[in-house]
Amino acid sequence: MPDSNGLTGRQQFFLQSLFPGEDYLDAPERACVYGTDASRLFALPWAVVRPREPGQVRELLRWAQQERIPVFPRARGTNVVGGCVPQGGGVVVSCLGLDRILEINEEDFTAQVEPGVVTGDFQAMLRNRALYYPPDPASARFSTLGGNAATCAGGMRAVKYGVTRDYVLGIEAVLPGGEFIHTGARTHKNVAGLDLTRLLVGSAGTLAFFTKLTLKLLPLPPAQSTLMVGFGSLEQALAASAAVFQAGILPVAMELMPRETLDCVARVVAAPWPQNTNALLLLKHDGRPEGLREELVLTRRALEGVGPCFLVEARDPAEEDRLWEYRRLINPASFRLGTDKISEDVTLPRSKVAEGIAGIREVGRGHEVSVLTFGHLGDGNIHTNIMFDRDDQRQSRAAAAAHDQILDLVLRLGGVLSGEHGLGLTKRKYLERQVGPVERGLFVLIKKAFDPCGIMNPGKAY
Amino acid sequence: MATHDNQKSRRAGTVADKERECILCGRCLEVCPLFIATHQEELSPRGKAFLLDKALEQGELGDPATARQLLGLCLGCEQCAQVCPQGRNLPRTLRRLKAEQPGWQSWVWRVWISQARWIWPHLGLGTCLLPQRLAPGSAFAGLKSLADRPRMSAVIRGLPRAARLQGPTVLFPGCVARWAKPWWTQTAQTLLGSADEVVLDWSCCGFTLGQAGLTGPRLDACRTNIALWRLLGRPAVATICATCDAALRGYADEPGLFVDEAESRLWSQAVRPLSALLDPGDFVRIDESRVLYHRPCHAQRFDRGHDPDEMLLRGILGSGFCTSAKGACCGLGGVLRLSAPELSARVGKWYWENVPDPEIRRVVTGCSGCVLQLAASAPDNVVVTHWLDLLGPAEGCVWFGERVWDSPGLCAGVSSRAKK
Repeated sequence: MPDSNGLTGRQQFFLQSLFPGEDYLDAPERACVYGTDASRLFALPWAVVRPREPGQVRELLRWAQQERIPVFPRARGTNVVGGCVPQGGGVVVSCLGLDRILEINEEDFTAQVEPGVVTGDFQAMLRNRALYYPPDPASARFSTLGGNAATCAGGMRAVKYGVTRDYVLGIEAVLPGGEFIHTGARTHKNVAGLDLTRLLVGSAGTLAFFTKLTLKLLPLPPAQSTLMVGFGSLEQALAASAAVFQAGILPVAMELMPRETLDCVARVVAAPWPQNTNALLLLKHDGRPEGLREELVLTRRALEGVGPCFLVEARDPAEEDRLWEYRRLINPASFRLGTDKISEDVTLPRSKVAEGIAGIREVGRGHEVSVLTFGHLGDGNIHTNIMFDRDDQRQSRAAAAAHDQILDLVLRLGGVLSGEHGLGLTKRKYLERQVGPVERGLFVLIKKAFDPCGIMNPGKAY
Repeated sequence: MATHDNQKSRRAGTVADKERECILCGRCLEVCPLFIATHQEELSPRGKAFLLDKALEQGELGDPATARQLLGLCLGCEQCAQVCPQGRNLPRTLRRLKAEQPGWQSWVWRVWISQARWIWPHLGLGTCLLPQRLAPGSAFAGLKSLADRPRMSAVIRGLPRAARLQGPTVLFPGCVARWAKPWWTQTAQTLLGSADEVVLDWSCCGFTLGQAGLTGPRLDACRTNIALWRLLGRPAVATICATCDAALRGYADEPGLFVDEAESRLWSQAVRPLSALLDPGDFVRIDESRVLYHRPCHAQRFDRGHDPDEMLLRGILGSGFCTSAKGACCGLGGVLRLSAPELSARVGKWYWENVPDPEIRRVVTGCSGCVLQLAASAPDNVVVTHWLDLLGPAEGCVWFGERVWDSPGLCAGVSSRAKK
């Protein structure tokens, strides 16, 4: 057995006392899954603990700071950048036992939740009360609100509704050292002091451990619909997208699936689009029925002006879900093109998306590697998957070179390295290409202010 | 300790399925009842897939015994296989591992024999176990308590011979109906219009045997059943247990059981749930109380994920019908009930804590195992039965005994066909 445990007997005893019974694990066989996430990177944790009460987190962080033991917050480990991997060793803290919905306030349009609540379950519960929490990362059905807040998860509805950060009004968290902080409020407006809430959202577990989130809710739009539109060329699809915005329409979501992506998905399921489809748009609209009807008329007029080869409209939630399933299948289907993947979610200004996609494809062709570009066309967040086989040295080298060139291209066009995945462990080294030294210096100072001993998820994000 | 990527050596995997590798996406976390009830990632399909890779294939973790013990903790419901984007079927892999584990089979036999009272109804003891393995006394002692027919009011009425048959059809009641709940068999045969026929000498469907890693006895059971089906002239086979139904359908995937492709196809078409042969329009609801339907893990998924039992009951009960929460599982999990009773109990506890309507007093399902497991864990004021137990005869008729139900004229016109 590898000698992986950096804890002394006394330290293990402390953790076992604070987390009795099965809430403490250190057998490598049981603990190993807590050392990985959807990035598929791995480092074995020294121990795993499962708090059931915020008070246990306070005691844990007081002790961890005293002992200088690294602490790695974890929810369901669905991030793709190694954000949960306990690199260098330490204690993984699973927040899945903190999974209570503490309050849904229909007058204030707010909810208070613990971090382990599953986003999809929360949204389903709200729907029964005609309330709405819009952020919808692709993992919403199996990821948590705490994980979504730690990573500032985006999703397809970001075009109209924004991202997780726009829906977190306040946070209760524990600082390294054991102090509780309460940021923000349950009001929808608040400008007193610095906005620590927005700073904590997306901080990837590097500043504090979240124990409670106050979330902003909206009334549930009573009607919604989805359009799936196929075009003979990518250029037509991009022109159609621009035409929709120019018609004054802001759809809930606007997703792009170019030819390579469509072919890839068609390897996993039977495709509804005709053979001559070279690019597909998926659009979602919502609102009051009468407004939605008008919006759909305008949208269809804009799309049809570009001459689509295929158009389906779904108004029934089950039918809509069937159309969106093709979008959700891209990630798993991509592994049919190569066993390994460099996954980027670069984001471009809307006006540069066409140029960016063309450039990225060109880079792929130049290096003879499969590159899939798809995703959130509406907000410029283009997912870029470079597929390769790690055992093939030529492919590995080509993928790395293509990756490098794509990041440069994106930054040259005024884009950013990541729209929603974060930099985690896998992309942290690229930060300096986008963020200057003075700003990075501020990151370091902020980190020090929250976490003077550097024990919170060390080595991640920035 | 160096962080490293574990993708590379996966390709040298020894797992024979040639499955695509687990990408650790986490989709299985949404559906695994064991994970939902415990919040323990090491018990999730993703956790076990990762452990399998680390411990057994890469040999990176030290204690194979601990790893194997953990890998054995699976309900076998295969919910994860239904959502896995890589098309992996982890429970199947785990079953094979169990079967290959030295000492496993003798352990299973020992526990089954000592706990015969519990496991007895799940196996075709009459045909595949009892003569060779068990002393009659121990098994029959348990039988008595299971064989008491509960007294309960009917919730729906229907006609005998309600099933719409397209040719000769025989009933595969399954071990529980055959040996412990004979009235299920009678009700089902009444619906099929074959109440007088003797119960056919089917063997165990083989599911529990297969899940326990007892490959040999399972194949014997499959062969016995197929031989009987041939003898009967390859009729349609109606099932009343979702797990039996899944097991029987699974015969078609087993190489060497059928003489050729055509016979295998014929078998696949022959096996169907009784509920799929019934029309909700031939039944009426006579009791307003709400009924909670528990969908068995092994139920077939048809239109939009609904299963045939669910579609029938939803059609008959309308607003009086509701289903259990997402991820709800009875907790039986084949041998998990024996190998890790505390985990099985936690899954069951989660089930009752997450019943969507606290006023529910009647829970029905279409799997024999689920009926037994849920009935054993249900609160005192809740009755759990097979959905067949909801059925009473048409008005003015009795189900069994006298042949009154044989005369449609005596029935008060609840059936569309009776009106014709």
